[in-house]
Amino acid sequence: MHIFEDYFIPEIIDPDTLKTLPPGETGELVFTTITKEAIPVIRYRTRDVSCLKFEPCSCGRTHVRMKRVSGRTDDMLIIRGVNVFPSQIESVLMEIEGTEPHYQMVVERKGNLDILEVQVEVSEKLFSDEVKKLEDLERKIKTEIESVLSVSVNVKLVEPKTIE
Amino acid sequence: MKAKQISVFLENKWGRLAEATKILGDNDINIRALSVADTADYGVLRMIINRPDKAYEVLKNSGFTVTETNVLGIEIPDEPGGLARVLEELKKESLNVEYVYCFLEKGHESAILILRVDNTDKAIKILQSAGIRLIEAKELYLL
Repeated sequence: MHIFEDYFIPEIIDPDTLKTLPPGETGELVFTTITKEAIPVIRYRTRDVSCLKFEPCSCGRTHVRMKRVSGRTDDMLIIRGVNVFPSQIESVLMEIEGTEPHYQMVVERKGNLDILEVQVEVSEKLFSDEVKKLEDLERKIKTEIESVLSVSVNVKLVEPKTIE
Repeated sequence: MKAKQISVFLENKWGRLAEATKILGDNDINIRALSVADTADYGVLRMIINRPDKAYEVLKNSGFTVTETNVLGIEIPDEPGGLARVLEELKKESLNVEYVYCFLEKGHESAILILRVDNTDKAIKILQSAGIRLIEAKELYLL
C-alpha cells in the first residue's frame, strides 16, 4: 500500500527503544503529519507492526509502500471494528466468583465477520455436575464480557490445563 | 443414606472418556453405574464407584476436574410403574429431580435408581415414610 509522503512521513521504529529503524526493517509504524493544522501529530504510534519498502513499485508510483500489517505491538485485537484488550476479559473473569483467569481468545473469520471465542478453564470451584449450572455459568461469562466489550463473543468451557 | 457420586468434567474431545475410565481401571477401581450428560462442547460423567475417595484422588491427580455429589440410591421393583411410583412421591411434595439414572442389580429382581434432587434430606424423609427402600452407601458401592 502506497503512503502519500507529501502529506505524511512514515517511519518504522523499534517499539522498545523508540529509535528509527533502517529502511526495510520490521517494526512499529509511526506517522508524522505535514499538512494537518488542527491536529498535527508527530510520530503517532499506530501500534501496527509493518515495514516500509522504498524500491520503485511496478505500478509506476514513486511513493513509499508499507507492507501488510503483520501484528500489533500491544495485545489489542480489533473485532468487527471494536478494539478489544485481553485485560478487559481478564477483569470480567476475575469478578466472577471462583474463576481462575485462565483463558484463551480465539479469533476466527467466518465469511466477513470476526468471531471471538473465549475459552475458559473450568476449575474445581466452578464445576457442577449439573449441566444447568454449567450453562448458567457460560451465559453469565458471555453476558458480562459482552457488556464490557460491546461485541458478541462465544464462551466455551474447557478442561483445566488444556490451554497452552 | 446419601451416597457419594463422582462427577468429572469432560471436554468434548476424542478419547477423553476412554482416558478417564482407563485411569480408574489401572487403579483397580470399579464403576458400579454411570451416566454421561452431554452438550455440544463438553460432557459431565457421573459415576457410582466402589471406592469413591480413591477415584476422586486419582482422577484429580491426573488433571481432571472432579467433584463429589450426594445422591440417593433407591431400590425399585423391576416392573412396569416401579420408577413412576418413586417419582410420584417426590412430585407430591414438590421436590425437583435434577437428574436420574438406573442400573440393574446382578441376580436380583430389583433395579437401582440413582437420584439427585434439589433437597436430599427432604427426599430421604419422603421416600422412607412412603416405604421405599433407600440403599446404604456402603451397600451401593459393593453391589
